[in-house]
This record gives sequence, C-alpha cells and structure tokens, in this order.
Amino acid sequence: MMLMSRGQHQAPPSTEPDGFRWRRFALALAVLLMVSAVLGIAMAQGVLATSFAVSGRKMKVSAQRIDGSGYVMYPSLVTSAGGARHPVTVLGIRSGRMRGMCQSAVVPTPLGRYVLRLSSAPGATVPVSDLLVSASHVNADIDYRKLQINRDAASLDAIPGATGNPGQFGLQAARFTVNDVHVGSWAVLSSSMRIPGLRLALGPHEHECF
Amino acid sequence: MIHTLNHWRRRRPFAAGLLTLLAGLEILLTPIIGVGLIINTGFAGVTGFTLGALLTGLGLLFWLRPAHRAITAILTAIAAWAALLTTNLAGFGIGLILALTGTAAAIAWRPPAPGDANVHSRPA
Repeated sequence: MMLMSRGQHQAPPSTEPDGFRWRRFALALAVLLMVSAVLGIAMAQGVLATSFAVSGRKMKVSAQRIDGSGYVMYPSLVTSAGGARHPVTVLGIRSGRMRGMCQSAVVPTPLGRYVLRLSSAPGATVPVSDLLVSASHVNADIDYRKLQINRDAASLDAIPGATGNPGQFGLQAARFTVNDVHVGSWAVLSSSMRIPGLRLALGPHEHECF
Repeated sequence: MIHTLNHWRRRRPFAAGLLTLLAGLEILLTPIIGVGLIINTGFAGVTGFTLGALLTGLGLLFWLRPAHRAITAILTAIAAWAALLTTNLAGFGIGLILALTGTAAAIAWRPPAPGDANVHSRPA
C-alpha cells in the first residue's frame, strides 16, 4: 500500500504525504549495523569479553598431547545459568597444537542418560589459540619451560585479557608440553580452534572421554 | 475490518513493533529450543531471558505508545547490542538484525499528517 502510493506519486521523500521514509531507514540501519560490527570486532579481539553462563553440569575434556607457547593458570569463578557460582582454575594456552582432543558431557534426556562426545580424528593435530579452560580438576603430565609460580594473577601477560584478580595465585610459563591430560571443566573458550575430522557422537551407550 | 486494521496500522510504527517483537521472542526462545544440542556454551540464560523479554516489551511499546517511538527506538538498539555481547551473539545474529531493522523502521516512520485522507475513516 505504502509502496504503491510512493510509486504513483514519484514524490521526493520529504514531501511524501505520510508513512515511511526509505532513505532515512537505510541510513539508520547502516549506522546501527556499523556500530554492531565495531562491537563484534571488539568482542572477537578480547578473549574474555564474551561472558556466558555455564550450563548446570560439568563436562570432561581430554587430550593425548598438547604443546605450545604461553601458558597461564589462575583461580576464578564461573556462574551457571541458575546463578550458582563455582570456583575454578583457569588454564590458558596462547597458541598450541593438540592431539587426541576429546570433550564429553552427560545429557539427561526424557529417554535417559545420553553422552554427547566431540572428538578429533585419531592422529589429527588441532591448532588452538587463546584457549581458556575453566577447570575443576586436572590430571596431566606437564613439562614447563621458563616457569613462574605464584606470580600475581593480575600481572599475567602470556594471553591478552586472561588475568586473575590482584593478590591471587598465578602461574605462567613460556613454553609447555602436556601429555595425557584429563580435565573436569565448566567451560571452554577459544578464539580459534580448527578441528579436522570432528566426530560428534550422541547416544545412551557412548563412552565419556575418561 | 481490513480497513480498520489498516487504519490502526498506519497510525503507529507497525513494522518497527513487529520486528522488535520477533527479535525479543527469538532471543527469548533460542536457549529453550537449543537445550541439549549445544553443551559447552551453556547459554547466558538469565541475560537472554531478560533482554528477550525487554525487546518483546519494547516491540509492544512501539504499537501502544507511537508518540514515544524515539526513546523506544534508542532502548531497542541498546538492548540489541547488550544481547549481542552477552547472549550467544543475540540469538545467533537473527535477533540482532530483527531488532536493529525495527529500530531503523521506527526512525524512518512518520505519523500521517492530520489532514491526510488516509487517516480519517471514510467509506471504502
């Protein structure tokens, strides 16, 4: 209706008798989308800018081997959707390669207990950058290089944005190698993780990662 | 009936309200529909509900208070950006686009002039 009357009159927008100013609409939308793009870019650059509530249950993360550079560890808190807070140790990796990556979670369904498992293809290398794991417990064989233990958590600088609160325990290493790592985790964040041959399995009889 | 509906629609930023309403519902419903499919993101449940409900309300406000559309439009844009930052990219981008299109539609809308024949009911 609006469009029809506009077509018949061919009037410039300012003298339209009523309704919708299309040029103004396009201009406003362009400005709004530009602001959104700036916000999106800012968010993508800050590792921790995207905060999310974690689900109410823990997941398991494991890998056969991870090596790379830039390693931090500090205590933190995560909040789950119901508002409950859980103390965690944040493990951060600036850049590294993972082999035998596996994540699993138990999903209660109306049909019973299902296991959802994500894993990389056997032997495939998964490159990761700015990986942050909010861990409740960790089992691993770790080899650190240039290690600093009990550095102030707020002064950690191996990963931009990944710092704890002032006065708290922090650990930082320049290089690291981890073998057979098993992590109980509330959340995994990563700025990039390319998983060749990702396998997703969901079923009542699937195995958890460990 | 249709004439009355058109008449009602013309006197308020109808498209703006509809788009904002849909954006709110989309952000509100995404965590509910997504449950079980996405595990480790966990969804910003509380913020999602709050901002989704806020956008739904703002959509209704466009319809019920056309005169206040400027302030409603500003609040809609702010709510959409807050959702972008805190809730799964504002319903995976769909809610964000809907809400911002609604904002722009409100900015572009103009009430019919008092003398406009379309405003006053006349026999169809």
